[in-house]
Amino acid sequence: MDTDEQLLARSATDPAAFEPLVQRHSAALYAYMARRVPSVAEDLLSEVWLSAYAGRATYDPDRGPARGWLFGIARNSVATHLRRSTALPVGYGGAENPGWDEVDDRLDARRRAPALSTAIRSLPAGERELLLMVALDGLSPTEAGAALGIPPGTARSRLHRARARIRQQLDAAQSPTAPDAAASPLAPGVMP
Amino acid sequence: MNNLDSLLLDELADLPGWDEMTASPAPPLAPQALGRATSAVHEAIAADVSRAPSGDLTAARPTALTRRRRARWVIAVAAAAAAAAIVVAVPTISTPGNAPVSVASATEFLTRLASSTTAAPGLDDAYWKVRFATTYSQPDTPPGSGRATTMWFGRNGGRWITSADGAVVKASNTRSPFVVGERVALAWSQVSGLPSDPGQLESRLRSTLGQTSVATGVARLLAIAPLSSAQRSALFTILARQSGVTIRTEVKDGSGRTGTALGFPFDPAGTPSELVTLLLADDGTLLEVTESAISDQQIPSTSGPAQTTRKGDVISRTTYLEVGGTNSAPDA
Repeated sequence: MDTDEQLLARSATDPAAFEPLVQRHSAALYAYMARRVPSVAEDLLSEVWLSAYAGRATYDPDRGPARGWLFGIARNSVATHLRRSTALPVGYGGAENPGWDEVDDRLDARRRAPALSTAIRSLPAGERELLLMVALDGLSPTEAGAALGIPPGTARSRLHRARARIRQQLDAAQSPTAPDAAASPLAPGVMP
Repeated sequence: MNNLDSLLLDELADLPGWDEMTASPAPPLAPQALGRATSAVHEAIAADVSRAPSGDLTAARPTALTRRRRARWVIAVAAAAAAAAIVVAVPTISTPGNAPVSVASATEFLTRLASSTTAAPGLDDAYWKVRFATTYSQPDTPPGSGRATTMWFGRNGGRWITSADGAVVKASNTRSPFVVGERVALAWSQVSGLPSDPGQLESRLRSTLGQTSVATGVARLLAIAPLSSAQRSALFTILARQSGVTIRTEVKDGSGRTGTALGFPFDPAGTPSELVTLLLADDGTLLEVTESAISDQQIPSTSGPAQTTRKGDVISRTTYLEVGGTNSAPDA
């Protein structure tokens, strides 16, 4: 089976080679957008693919995997939509985003929401967005870096820093002086 | 997924609640929505085909990109030449009961390792213990970067990790604690069952690594897996078969140990412009993995102006301080 990068390269002279990418990545791209702008995610999906097709010649494999490039286009579409919408926060810039309802849903389901959700929310914007792309959207650190336009090493560095911050917060929350520490569902002894 | 991505995901997976965050199903895509997207692209392709002059469907490619590609090749060739130029000493390899043997190339070095390597120590013990330290030379260097972290993998499952204050946390009860590829995790018994035939093992590796370089997958296994001598031998044979490998001798790792550095460029398609270097001791022990830039890059920072990484700059360095079996249970 051709890799994404091979299909993109071939589509420069054989446009039909682009079509398998739509089948391959639509579900993940839709999920990414549905977590952030659920009401328009289906419409944005077509826009993303048309943008990707029109811009396929600009994809540069030296800058990262094709999957990361596609998510970068999806991220731009979401950001553009949010900027245009007066009902949503101004200055989105990609970083203040959401995904939060889903984060909380998932964590609430296991009654872990307060500490972990708070810790993630407190991360600097760039680190938080990277972390959510890896945790919720299933991107590798390299792919998430490509989506955000940063090199793999930098992406890993920021994720490493995010983990350290979260761990620090969780450890503080579990310290003996913290209220209800013994009963916290985040206590290591009750981890799955 | 490359070796360093996998290692980082391992660390992230030990955050309480991470498994729940990553495991839930994604919002489902309605077939009608997929159909609309497919139709939109199909129509765009059809329009292109109908507009294109006979035989010309080439998408416009920016000339800057072409220049950058050419520059990349120039840099790669220059880097290879530079690496070759700094082989100032003939590497040696120790074989059991014999004097060190001189070798002249990466292939020869790896081939000899394949014929002489032994199993990692403590293969029959109850836990597999890996102590490592990662440093980053990027902007936004993490707090505690360079501090040693220890992970334990239980023969019957379970994974433990040291937290920032040195306390041991039992992070997961999974029966498959060894993450060896893109979201592929193996139980200890499955690691033991990996093939020792180089061809079969490489095939298995490729099935877990997607488009990522085989060399990074090999590094991953050498770094964390309890492997027999035959399996380690197969891994060195796989490395010896890779092309474009550079070799440097008398290279010191972050803890002052000396080894032979083997540089593996990433696959040309869809991979980052970085070089992964494995530093191996004479007995095949993996001492360190570094990734370095093979071209100049502007790196945006979350906390200040962008910084530049120059060709050859080390981006990250993971030093494996201790790898082997132990019967001492993690003190969690």
